[in-house]
Amino acid sequence: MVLLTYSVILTTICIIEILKADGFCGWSLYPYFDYVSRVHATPFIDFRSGYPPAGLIPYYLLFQFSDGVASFQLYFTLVNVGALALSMFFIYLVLSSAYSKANAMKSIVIIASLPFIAMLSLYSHGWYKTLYGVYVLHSVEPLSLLFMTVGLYCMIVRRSPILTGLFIGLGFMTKIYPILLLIPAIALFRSRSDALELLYATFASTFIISLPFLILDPFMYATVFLHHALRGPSNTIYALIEGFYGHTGLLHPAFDQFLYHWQFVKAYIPRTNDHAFYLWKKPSLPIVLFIGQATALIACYLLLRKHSNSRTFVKGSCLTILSFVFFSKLYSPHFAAFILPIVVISLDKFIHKLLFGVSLYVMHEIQGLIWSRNFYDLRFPLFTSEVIIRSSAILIVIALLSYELIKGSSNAN
Amino acid sequence: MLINKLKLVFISGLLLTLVSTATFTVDVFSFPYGETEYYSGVIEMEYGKESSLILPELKPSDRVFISLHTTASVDLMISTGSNVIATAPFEIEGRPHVFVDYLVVTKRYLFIAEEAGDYALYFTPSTPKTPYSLVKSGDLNITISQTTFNGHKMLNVTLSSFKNMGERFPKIFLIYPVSVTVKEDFEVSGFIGLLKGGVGMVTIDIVDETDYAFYSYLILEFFVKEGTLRFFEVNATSEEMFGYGNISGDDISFICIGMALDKSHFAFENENIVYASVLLGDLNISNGGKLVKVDAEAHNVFSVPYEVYMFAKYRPSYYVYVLQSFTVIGLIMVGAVFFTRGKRKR
Repeated sequence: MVLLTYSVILTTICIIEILKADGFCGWSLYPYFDYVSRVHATPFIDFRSGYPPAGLIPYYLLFQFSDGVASFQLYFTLVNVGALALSMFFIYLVLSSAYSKANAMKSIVIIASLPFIAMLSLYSHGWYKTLYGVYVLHSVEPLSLLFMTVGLYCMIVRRSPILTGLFIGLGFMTKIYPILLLIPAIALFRSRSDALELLYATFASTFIISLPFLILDPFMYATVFLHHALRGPSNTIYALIEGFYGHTGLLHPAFDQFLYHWQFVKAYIPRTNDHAFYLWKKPSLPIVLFIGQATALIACYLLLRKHSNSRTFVKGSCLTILSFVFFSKLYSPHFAAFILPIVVISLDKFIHKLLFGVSLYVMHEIQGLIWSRNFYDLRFPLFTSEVIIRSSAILIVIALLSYELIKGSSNAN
Repeated sequence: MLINKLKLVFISGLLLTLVSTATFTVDVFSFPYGETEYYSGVIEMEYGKESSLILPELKPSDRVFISLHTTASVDLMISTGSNVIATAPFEIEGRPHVFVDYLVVTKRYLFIAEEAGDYALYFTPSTPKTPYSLVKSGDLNITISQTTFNGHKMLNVTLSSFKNMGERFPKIFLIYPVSVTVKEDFEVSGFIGLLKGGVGMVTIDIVDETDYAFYSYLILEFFVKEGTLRFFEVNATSEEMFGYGNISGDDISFICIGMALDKSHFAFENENIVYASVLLGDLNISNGGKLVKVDAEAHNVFSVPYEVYMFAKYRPSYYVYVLQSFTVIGLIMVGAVFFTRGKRKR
């Protein structure tokens, strides 16, 4: 009932925002869908898209069903608010089981209030209202957050390898990062049969969703993932090291997306100012980061494999995702949609949860200032500060969770 | 007994999945995905006239990617037999234009050959070749020519638009790519003027990669009179239109001349067409003791180096459908074993 009321209030506010905006509410998938629709192109077969199938096709169907920007935004918002509310419900179930109902409620309050607080942003329009927009108006994150939280619920509460694998696969096919839950899941489902079931369910759900595209054009489908893996750095300390100060926007003609990645490589020279097809000034940096990510994932698995406590796996899931994000070459404000919930549920003390929520909000306010015309001359110091503060906050949480898990291991021994 | 049957189904399902997946992989990689037909050369073009290029026979679904290395704007028409083929609209994820060099310095086109056959490309330059690439925003007709005014060699850029159509401030950017770090002595200077009509504004715009910003410096304003010619200079500490713009030490990638019409301009109260003929002289860009002079020249006849890439597109055979069906059946068999075992456990 509480979540239903929350959804109704959030949806009402969103509708008012959409009507007030009289057009695009900041960045939106609408112009992109409009383009591919006009040139009669089928996603994943005629062109590489920006999202995996389960993250794109539901929204593309909404576009086909809508009769303009406003109705598309409305359907989009309804889906995202619904996904967000359901995510909270599953977070509540996970935390009630692993901690207590009081802990669950406190965490939900922080996560649920953020879209509302973000609306009090200093800027009244555009994607400056970063967090609010991310959660509700223009990103596919709520849907992948839903699959991730259901996966977490199946892993920690239901202890079902098949269902966990199913939702990890669905999440992977929505926005890639939920696949990271496979690390804590393998550590939890240690018996050979459980591990096989988990891997089977993850592979089967991924395969079934991918099947039409694997049949019709496996090369274009591979290009979707390859292109993203090879993008440039952005909004991270590694971007600062590289000297790239732009954002993650894919500044490419949409028609470039009609080619396979290796075909495009032949026709186009990468540039140091083109994030979509980036020429690294320090070519070893992406390799170092990849090794960092792989090492972090192995370390998380090793830390978790001797545990079976629910709380440890809530923390371990967060540690896995944050460690991967820390070594990621790029950061987008959209990541907040899963970073906030996963960090809030993994911290024990309410004050820590609150501090992280507030710091994330402040960092996103700085993001708003950075991309605003009013702060051109201050942009570089603001950009640098935001990146350093955010990376430090993530590093502190990683250190805290690692300490707790190592301490837990030695106590268990 | 049941355990043995389950084992048999499991192993059969696993084998079926593995064998069909392996066969599918071999089949897919037998497609020549890495092969590209590539042609390059130089084509002679003349402003307003058509030049053609005949392509070798294309296969169905082939993607043809054409690059023209010229600053001139060139329209492309593609035909096969008596049919005209559409090129992909020139947009960046829904946005009409963004200042990224490959978009403006190299003209790129893509079309998809729906059917096998011979295809011909017809190029028609819509502007002469100048040192600047042109990006247009809004409903505008543009003509560019070389002229002499008060003894200065200048480009005459004429913008015109119907008063009651489209946006109020249609504009163009003449874009000159640079790759410099701005030193203390950085300066962009030259002559700018209004020959005829009424202009919304003319600006020098600098794309700053360090600030990730687009700085605009006003050099010709709304109320300027016909026949005006003035010298302008913008340096590293000049204040731009919005009060910002210290670009010392920043990396910059483009210097643009922005020209906008204003459809509510007082000069055209009773006319249906608004226009402005803007005069632009040589542009001098000095930085770190070096001077680059961008000549105000327009060439009606020019040579254009081109590249044509013909990329094959994968098309599945019926064999692939069969293989994938086997994979699905194999997966279902394995899944059925897991499901049955799970039920027995409960």
